[in-house]
Amino acid sequence: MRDKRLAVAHTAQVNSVTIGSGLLIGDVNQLNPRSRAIAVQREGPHTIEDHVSFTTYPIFQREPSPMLPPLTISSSFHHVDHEICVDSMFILGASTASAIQIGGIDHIDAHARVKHIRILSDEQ
Amino acid sequence: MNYTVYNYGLHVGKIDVTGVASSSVFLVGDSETIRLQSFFDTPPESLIIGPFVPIEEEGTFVEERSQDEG
Repeated sequence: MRDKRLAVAHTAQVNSVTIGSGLLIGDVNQLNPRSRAIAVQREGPHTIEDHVSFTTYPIFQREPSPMLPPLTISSSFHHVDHEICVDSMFILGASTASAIQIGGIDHIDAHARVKHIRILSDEQ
Repeated sequence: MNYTVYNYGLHVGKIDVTGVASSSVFLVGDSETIRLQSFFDTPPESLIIGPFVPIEEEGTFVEERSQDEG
């Protein structure tokens, strides 16, 4: 799809965009957001001062699955109407290598890795 | 096989989204290729109860406690 339709959004309300994410208005060729996170939930009023390395956990070393071969179907697109219209949108938040985009985009390759750890002080 | 697409008028009124997270995309527009990958790891051994212990065989999680914490 070489020629992209015009994206029209009258109002957009976005509360928060965090951790390697973006709110993009306009056309984009390539977008590659990346995020690595170690999420520690610890019981009690401790402050986390530990130095934790991503190399400690195998989740950050695992190879992603190989790309699928591109589709070889001959395709054609006819834009009878050249606009995609949205009256209003409300998005509470975007996080961890995500994107909110109003406009055309060629390629997106997003990648997020989260290691989640919970630490309780005593058996409940 | 021939894949033919006709894009007629597209008008959406109101969109309400709570969250776009962990390698996700909210897109108003056209695209060529989209590749989204997310790794999330919370195995049972991630739940640590009681004193700190190494949580994985491949590596250790080292905690340095300050003296006032006892």
